[in-house]
Amino acid sequence: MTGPILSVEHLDVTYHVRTGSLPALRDVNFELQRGEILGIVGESGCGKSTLSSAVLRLLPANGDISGGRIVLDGDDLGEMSEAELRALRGDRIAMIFQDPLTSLNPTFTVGSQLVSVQRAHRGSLTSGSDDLRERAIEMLTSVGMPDAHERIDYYPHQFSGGMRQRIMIAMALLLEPEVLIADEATSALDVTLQAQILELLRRLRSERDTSMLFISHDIGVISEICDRMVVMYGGRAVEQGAVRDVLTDPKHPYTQALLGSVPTKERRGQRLTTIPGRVPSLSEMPEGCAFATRCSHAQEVCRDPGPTIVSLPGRDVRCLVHDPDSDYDTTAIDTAVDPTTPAAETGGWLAKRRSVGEVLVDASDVEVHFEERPSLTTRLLRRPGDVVRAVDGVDLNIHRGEILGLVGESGSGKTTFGKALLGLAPVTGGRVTYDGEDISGLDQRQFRGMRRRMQMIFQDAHASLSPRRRIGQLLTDPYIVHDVPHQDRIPVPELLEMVQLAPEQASKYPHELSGGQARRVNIARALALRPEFIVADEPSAGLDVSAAASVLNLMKDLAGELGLTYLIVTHDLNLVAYIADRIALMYLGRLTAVGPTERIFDHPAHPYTQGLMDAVATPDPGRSQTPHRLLVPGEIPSPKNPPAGCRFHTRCRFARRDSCLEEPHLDHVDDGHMVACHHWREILEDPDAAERAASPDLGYAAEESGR
Amino acid sequence: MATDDRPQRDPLRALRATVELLRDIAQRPTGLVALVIIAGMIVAVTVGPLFVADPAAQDIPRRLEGPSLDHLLGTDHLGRDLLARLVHGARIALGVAVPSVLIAMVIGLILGLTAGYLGGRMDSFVIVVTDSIQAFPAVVLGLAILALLGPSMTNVIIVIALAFSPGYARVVRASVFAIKEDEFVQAERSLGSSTPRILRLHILPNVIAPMLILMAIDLPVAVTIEAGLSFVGVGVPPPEPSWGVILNDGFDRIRAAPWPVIWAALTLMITTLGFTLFGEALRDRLDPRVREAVRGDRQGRS
Repeated sequence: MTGPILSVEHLDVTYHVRTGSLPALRDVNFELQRGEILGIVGESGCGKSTLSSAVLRLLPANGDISGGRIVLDGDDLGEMSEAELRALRGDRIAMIFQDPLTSLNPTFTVGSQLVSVQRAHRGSLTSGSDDLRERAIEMLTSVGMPDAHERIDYYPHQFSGGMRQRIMIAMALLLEPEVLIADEATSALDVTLQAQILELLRRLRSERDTSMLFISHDIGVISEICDRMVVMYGGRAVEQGAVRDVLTDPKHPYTQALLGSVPTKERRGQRLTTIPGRVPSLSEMPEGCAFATRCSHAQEVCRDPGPTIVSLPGRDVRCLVHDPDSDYDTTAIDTAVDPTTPAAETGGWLAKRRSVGEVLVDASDVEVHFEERPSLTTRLLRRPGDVVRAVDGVDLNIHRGEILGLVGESGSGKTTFGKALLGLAPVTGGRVTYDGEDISGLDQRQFRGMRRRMQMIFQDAHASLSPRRRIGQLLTDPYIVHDVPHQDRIPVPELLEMVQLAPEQASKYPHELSGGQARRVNIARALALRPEFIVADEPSAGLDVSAAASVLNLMKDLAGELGLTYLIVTHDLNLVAYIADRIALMYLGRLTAVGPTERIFDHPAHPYTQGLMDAVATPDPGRSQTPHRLLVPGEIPSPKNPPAGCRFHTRCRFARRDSCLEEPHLDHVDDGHMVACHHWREILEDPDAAERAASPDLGYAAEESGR
Repeated sequence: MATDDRPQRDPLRALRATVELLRDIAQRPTGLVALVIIAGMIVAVTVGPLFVADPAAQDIPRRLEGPSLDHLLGTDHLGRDLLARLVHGARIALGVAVPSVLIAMVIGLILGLTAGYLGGRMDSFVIVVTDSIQAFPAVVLGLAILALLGPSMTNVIIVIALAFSPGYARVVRASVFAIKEDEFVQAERSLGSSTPRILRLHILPNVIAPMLILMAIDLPVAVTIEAGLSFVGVGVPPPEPSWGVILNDGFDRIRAAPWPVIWAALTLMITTLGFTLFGEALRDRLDPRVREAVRGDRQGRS
């Protein structure tokens, strides 16, 4: 029992389509050791999901394993019958999916689903449904569900997103599988929740010695939880080794570029590495190295068929650079373009950005309350309907020329606030002035004139482009809407060039573009009217790291060239740490902290800021693998019924009964850094003492004892 | 410069898309049958009358004859040529069905767009009106109205349009409800687009497909309603060779001569079948979910 639990040996997977055969995986080779967490990382279209379905033998009907073997603890999966495979899935190999809402059946209680899983596999040995139920409760408790014996009879929709993901994990672990496959298991969750789930998986591994295949596009998450990692590109495993080694000394040019394209605090003022082009589609996969078309080190020999795996100490790399027997000319490597050390910003970008001007947008005590349409009974009983307090009293100035990052978990009201500034959400209280002019009372028609000066880049790059219009039309629409005379318009080819798109794209439809291209079209549209102020909602959402990096580079360049003012709304702390001049943190409709980026990161005075910073996953070899302290437990409460007093007190480890039930106001810490917390001084001076002073029946302390 | 702003328009694009659509439909056996029947209908309506006798010419001595070389399908109780009457009847059938469905579509579109986009009271109002109309069976509603207005082709068109428009209003309203929550509508608003512009350029193109499908399904129903109303004598009045009139005339003498009833019923049946199959094929082709699946398959990426 010492060999690997799962070994994938020279696996080839082919998809058969009308036009021929497409190689989805080629010569993928790795071993998963017992009790190990192995990360699989790569951009979309690199074969990560194909790999996980191949391991479960759940490939789509037109796909098959055309070479190699998958061996689970001595059993060749390729030789198993469908019945044997069915018995194996869920029992010996289990899977956790990305979306826990669609992976649980909404019409059965959680308990009955957990019992039926056991029955399906252990039917003959069943010792009675009470035992199965007991086991399910035990499992739910071990994944951190409080009151499991009661909540087992709830339906999936009665649980929050984080709890549903825990249920999925409980279900996967119920039968003590030998291998657990987690396919983007934390990608849909907020950072605080993601940290909780990662911590849970790590704990389960040490308790049960489960082996895990952890698939993610997020190299930060991989570096947090995995022991070893495999980097996939174009259906091949291009590099594998221990996480720490790969992060500190990536050998494959793709890994190097991937790591260089992650925005982090350390890269402030530097350009992110971008990888030109996109992952080749399966039908145009080159014969030679799949990365050769985008690689800065590529030479003629790289296009010859298949670089083989080069074994370095503790590392497998599929790249000719490291193969002493190949014809690759290592002397020709241009060290100047080594992607691991991104070029410093040319033209002193950061210095230019420092010329921050007067207040452009002034939000004072802004409220956005949505009244839910009351049900008939509520109306008959003349009770007031529910009010969603999405934004509930926010004071924020945005200065001309600055990049302000607005950060918060989902449900914090950050996007609604951004929309309220642009008149896209109703301002029900307080006021917004733009360049000295009150814009909060304007109706849609009066607002139209303002729209030339302020624009929004929406979160979903594809969904925010009208699907039946061509890119060229979409780019001229702003001028038609605002009746801009022809001489004042920026011609479409020029607009496309501004966002680094080819003029030919003008005749395409939105669905023909990649995510990164669609995002660029969004940016070009927003820029067409030469606005001063842009609200960008999650500008990197839904994009692969390298595409996101080039979008961020572009946004930064444009900010410098055109003197734009940005409000960047995001949940990604790394992103704002990289790009923003100032950061505002939002929690349940209120600001918890505002300040210059360095100050916030160097002296996080608010407990929420500390918690977010602790939870964020960064591919930093020094930092990773140190367990998170999980400073912010639980999940964000509903904005319909926010907690009284300090809204954060239910999740705060410093919460005190005597003070925190009163509303804190933004208090000046230093140098423009403000926090809304009664106890920031104590927390900064002596966090341990402050924590000891916390009331045991409030917040974090209460959560802890409730477990 | 102004001309540069516009993307190159392909004048043949619409035509090419139509040809491709028809080719896709013809690939399924039922679709092919539908296309053949509809092509036959089009021939009958356009050039058909040139090749047949005068549908009004009476030849009393040769009344109620079976098929012969002179009269391919036989004659009716006034000795009129049945083939000629059926071919001319096709003009009436489509002459009623097509305008009535088009009118229903326009009414439904206007109601559906306003109700869907504005919501609130306007929406409630439209729903009450459409529900009230739909509560009556179309034929009963038609009988009642035509009894008041008197039988004529125009009145039949009005009645059918009235009966069908709620269906379009509901389909459009539902689509608009879904589409107006899409991010691109908000993106257009943030750009400063006016409501009429958003409706026209960004919402309308996205509700056309379900409406086309509903039209193809409604056409045969309209043909049968017209025939039915004419059959009971409140539709197109008798001298006109409506299929319903032919059926009615033949029905009185069915024991003596079954031919008029047989031919008219068969024509009606085949026409209905053709349009229904076409509607189904069109629905399968245009349904976004089906199309999306096909597109995903083409990309073939994991």
